[in-house]
Amino acid sequence: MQQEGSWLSINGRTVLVIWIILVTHLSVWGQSLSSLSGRVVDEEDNPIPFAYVTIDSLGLGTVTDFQGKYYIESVPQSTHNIKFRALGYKQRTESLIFNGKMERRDFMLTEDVLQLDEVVVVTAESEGRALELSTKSVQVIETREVKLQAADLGEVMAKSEGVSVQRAGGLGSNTRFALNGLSGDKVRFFYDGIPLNFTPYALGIANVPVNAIQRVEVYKGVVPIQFGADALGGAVNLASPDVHNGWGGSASYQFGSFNTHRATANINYSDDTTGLFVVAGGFFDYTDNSYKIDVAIPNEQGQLQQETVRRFHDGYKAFGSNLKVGIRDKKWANELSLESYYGSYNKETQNSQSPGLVDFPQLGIDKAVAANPFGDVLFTSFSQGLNLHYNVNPTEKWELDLKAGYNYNELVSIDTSSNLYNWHGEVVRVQNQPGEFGEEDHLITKSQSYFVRQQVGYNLSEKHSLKLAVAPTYAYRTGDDLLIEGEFDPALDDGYLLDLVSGLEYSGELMNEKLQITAFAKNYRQSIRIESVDPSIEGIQVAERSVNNYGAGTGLRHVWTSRFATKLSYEYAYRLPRQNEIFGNGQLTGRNLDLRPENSHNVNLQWTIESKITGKTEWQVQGNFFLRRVNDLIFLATNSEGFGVYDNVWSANSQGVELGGRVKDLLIKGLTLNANSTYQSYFNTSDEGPFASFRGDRIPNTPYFFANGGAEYQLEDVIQKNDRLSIFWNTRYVHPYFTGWESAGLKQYKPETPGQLTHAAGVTQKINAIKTQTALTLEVQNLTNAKVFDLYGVQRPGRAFYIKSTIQF
Amino acid sequence: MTKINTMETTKRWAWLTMLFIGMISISITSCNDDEGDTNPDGEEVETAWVIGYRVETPQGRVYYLEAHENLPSATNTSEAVELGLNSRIYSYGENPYTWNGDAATITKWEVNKSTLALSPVGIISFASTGVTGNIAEPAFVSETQAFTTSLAEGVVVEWNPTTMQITEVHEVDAFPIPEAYDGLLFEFRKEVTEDGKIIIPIETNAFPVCCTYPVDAAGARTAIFDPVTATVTYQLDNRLLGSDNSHFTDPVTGIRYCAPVYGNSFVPPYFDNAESLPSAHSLLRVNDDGTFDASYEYNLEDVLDIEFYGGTSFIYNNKVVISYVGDDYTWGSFDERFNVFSLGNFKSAVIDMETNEVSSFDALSDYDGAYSVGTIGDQTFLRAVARDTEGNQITYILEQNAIDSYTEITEHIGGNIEHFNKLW
Repeated sequence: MQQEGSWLSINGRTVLVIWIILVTHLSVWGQSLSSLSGRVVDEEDNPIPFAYVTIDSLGLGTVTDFQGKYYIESVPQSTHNIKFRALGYKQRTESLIFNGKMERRDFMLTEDVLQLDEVVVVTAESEGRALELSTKSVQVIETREVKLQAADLGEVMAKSEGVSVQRAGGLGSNTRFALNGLSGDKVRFFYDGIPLNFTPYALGIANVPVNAIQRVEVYKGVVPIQFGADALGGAVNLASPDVHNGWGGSASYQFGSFNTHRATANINYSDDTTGLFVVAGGFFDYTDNSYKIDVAIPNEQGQLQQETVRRFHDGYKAFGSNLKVGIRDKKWANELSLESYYGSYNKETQNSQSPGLVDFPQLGIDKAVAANPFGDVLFTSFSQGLNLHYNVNPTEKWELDLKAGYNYNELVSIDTSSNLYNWHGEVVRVQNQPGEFGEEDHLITKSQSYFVRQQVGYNLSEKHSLKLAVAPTYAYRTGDDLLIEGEFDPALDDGYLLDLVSGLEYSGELMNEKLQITAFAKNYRQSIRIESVDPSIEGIQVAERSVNNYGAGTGLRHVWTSRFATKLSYEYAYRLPRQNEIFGNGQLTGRNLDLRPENSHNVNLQWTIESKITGKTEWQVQGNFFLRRVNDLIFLATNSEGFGVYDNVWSANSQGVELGGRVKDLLIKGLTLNANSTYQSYFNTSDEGPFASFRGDRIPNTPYFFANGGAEYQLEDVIQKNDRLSIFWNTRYVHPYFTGWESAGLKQYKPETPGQLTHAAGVTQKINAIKTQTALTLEVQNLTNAKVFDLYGVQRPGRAFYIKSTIQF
Repeated sequence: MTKINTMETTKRWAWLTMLFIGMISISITSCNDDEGDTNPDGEEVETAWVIGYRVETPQGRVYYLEAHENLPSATNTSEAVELGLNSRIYSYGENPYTWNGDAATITKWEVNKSTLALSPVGIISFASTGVTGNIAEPAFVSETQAFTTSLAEGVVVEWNPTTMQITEVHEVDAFPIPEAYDGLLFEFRKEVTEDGKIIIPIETNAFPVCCTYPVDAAGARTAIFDPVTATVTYQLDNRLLGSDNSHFTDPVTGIRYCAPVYGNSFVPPYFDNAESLPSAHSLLRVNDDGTFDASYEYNLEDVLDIEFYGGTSFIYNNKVVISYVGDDYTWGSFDERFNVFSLGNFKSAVIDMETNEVSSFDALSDYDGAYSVGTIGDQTFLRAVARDTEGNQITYILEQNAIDSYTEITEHIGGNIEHFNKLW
């Protein structure tokens, strides 16, 4: 494994020197030819981003950036026709004489009313495209097409390079989301830049309705300062749909196998004259998750026999709503808005995440769950709060952005049943000791949280800017163990947590805008205070601790040609310890006030090659080499009596390559193909501690090779003019991975999460009217009814059929 | 700027990309697994030992099983059978047995007489009997009779280790769990007596709630299961606050002792009714029928300034070797009581229970703790735990040469050795 990583051992300084030499060389090389630059604007001098600017006779072209700017070089001396195209605008062609000098021209395009219904799409995609064209190490997933389909957000994100989503079942199940190998709270989640727990989507990112978002931004390893997060492995931001002048909105309803119903609705109104805007939205999810799994059921003699049964206690119900009122496009405010939200869910739990898989081919048992199911375990939660957003440019050079929020959350876990169930849903015994998961439990955890994300931007010049972000988050948590009355209750301890993540960032463009640079520094501060009542001591017991750490990072993007660009990014990142990791639980987990934050050196080298704009076939190939060198990882180290403390005991490296490609209209017009794959070597580098014996082994239970593919064929005007029929197919492959250390254990008996090869296929009929767009999708997921596991022993749903209708106006 | 302006070049790029992705997939999926150790023509080995142990992973403790002709100097995880999470390992006769706590199954393993390769030969499920989770070692009475118990549920499952079938589920009197208790109890070790009864030492969990100890939770306990009548009787002795899950038998005198459990030491410093409770640190004797010897109690506090009792290593010729923390230790709050494991100054002492002579016991001072496993053949073994300078946990199998002389036989880095035994 260390040999695999040798190419990555070149230090950052060497890479930078090589980079600068190459960039300088290329710039000198291009000076003997003409170049053309300028802006493309509309009739009100607003920039038009992502307009195509091409010289068809030479096969040259580019796309305007977010400011409408374009730049074409290496134009031979002659007269050439320059073509300008943008969705929603009339095409324009101009003839220019090139005489070996740099030419600068601005062009205006006029609106094309016939294409107006597509403009919304262009605007929506443009922000994502702008991110991709920035120095940020970000991958953007547009949901314009996938929101017509039945896949949930976890499945959508799993189609991306470097993203691994392991699900403990169907809709509503627990999810293990990993970016380049790093998972858990090493990755942070946001909705419009607001931490996800300050939204109605409290159950986690995989269960957020796709129709509630416009795009997903996946920041790999290097996290922009405005998120104010202590993310070690990256961050994911979900962007809400844009609001346009007048009435707008969307609704969707999906139903299908396992009694699954998912509905979303969103309506918005904006008056550009007064600046007033209102957004209201909501979602409702319900499923029985009654899919079939293989189980091993004992007879009276305790001999196992494999059966296929339906899950009977795995239901999920969630509801959420939000209302946002604001004013925008004023001199004193680009936006001032207030949003309230409410979200709740109930989740039945059928089994633990380690439900006792038995694989005994001699008896005809093929990976079947042998443990008794849970029939009464339930988790419920509700979350409500307010968010404020204020954005203003006090002067042309200054920008202020302020986000603040409050959240109240209650989580209830109920495991008080004495019933022992079998897989037919029958009670086979009434136990003396209640509790199906283990010990009887009825616990309420309550938390109140506040956050502020304050960002000040200053444009030093047209091409250089500074940003300062300050992001405090304050949380107060308490609870109640309802099974303990009038006694000492550790759950009643009061915990106060203040995280303060600040950052200063410089952004600039050099070398005729071909080189973009971002450099930033971050400061992480954390204060924790626990107030507990300990009946052995008089008064309230107080424990406190504070930490202060610094991190930094940079991003470089160089546009080598209009079709080839590279990005190099780096961050030294921290993940601050959690309250329970520092102070323990008052029982067998002790406190460790010396616990250090986890830290990581994160490097990405991304590249993108695109087809020429004038070509009939569009294609794009992108790749990413990544390295994560993670140290001081926290682990609960226990002794033989079960007593333990969280400690910084292990380290790991994750390095690998992602490769993806997409081609449109390759063989047949309307046919789009896409594929990507990720190979990551996430391995243990611990020199000491409990994992030292397995230095060099892959981190267990983590997928290390996975690939996705897909095809879509679109037919226009099938039923009526302006409609579109899409036939799509998606496939995913995950290579098998071990649940224990790879060097330990004989291969023939080694528990292994089997490989997955799944397919989904469907058809979408979309009908475009002047003001509305409707779509109906028929889809089958897990087409081959493959027996699929993300987590060892936890079987995922088999073949499922869904119908989904959407309307957008 | 490079021109790429033909359809062929475009296609080539696209197909090369797809091909590359496909090749990565094929090359990785085509990796062959090792075929394992095969030596079918070898001669039968004269002896066979089995060792079961665990190692830490970021997802939890994973268990392994190995078979060797002789006890090896070190475990070899690469040649072991991986059992997964939440397992237990036992052996009886010539077969190892492994408990899958998640599945509530016991798997029977066969050891090849020539190659010592392990292979599963049977599996039995207890899932519908109420026996689940962190369950204790079965009591093997014979090749055809074994008992697995869940006394909290009042269940004793009789099963046949040869056919791997349940023969009967006995509903017995459940362990009388005090209402104030959370209900956890441990019944890890079982002893089959000469008259065929099964003595089960019972450890109740360290009481989690401060600061008045429920009187009905106090007492040393054993259970005796009589296979003939299929009944369980419980013995309670109120001279000891709580008993350990293992009895210690003196190999010289043959006397069986009931030892304290470490959680007893939390009671005197924190509970306001401690003085009215039984002794936290006494040794009692247990008769062959499982009853307590009413005429014997040895209170360690009478001869030792003991603040925290860590455990009994062994009892030999009326001498007991214990690990403890002396009265120089200062307790923190109740929340911090378990810190004694990391902050306490653990010492070992040998106490002559006839003369009351106490002396430090340095023979095991290199270890954090050492506990008798018993005599296998003519060898007496201990299991000892230590940490090296880099924080790695190391477990040793020690052979006892004399009461104060030990030889390290087997070393395992990274977790506990859970079980070892000589199969033949």
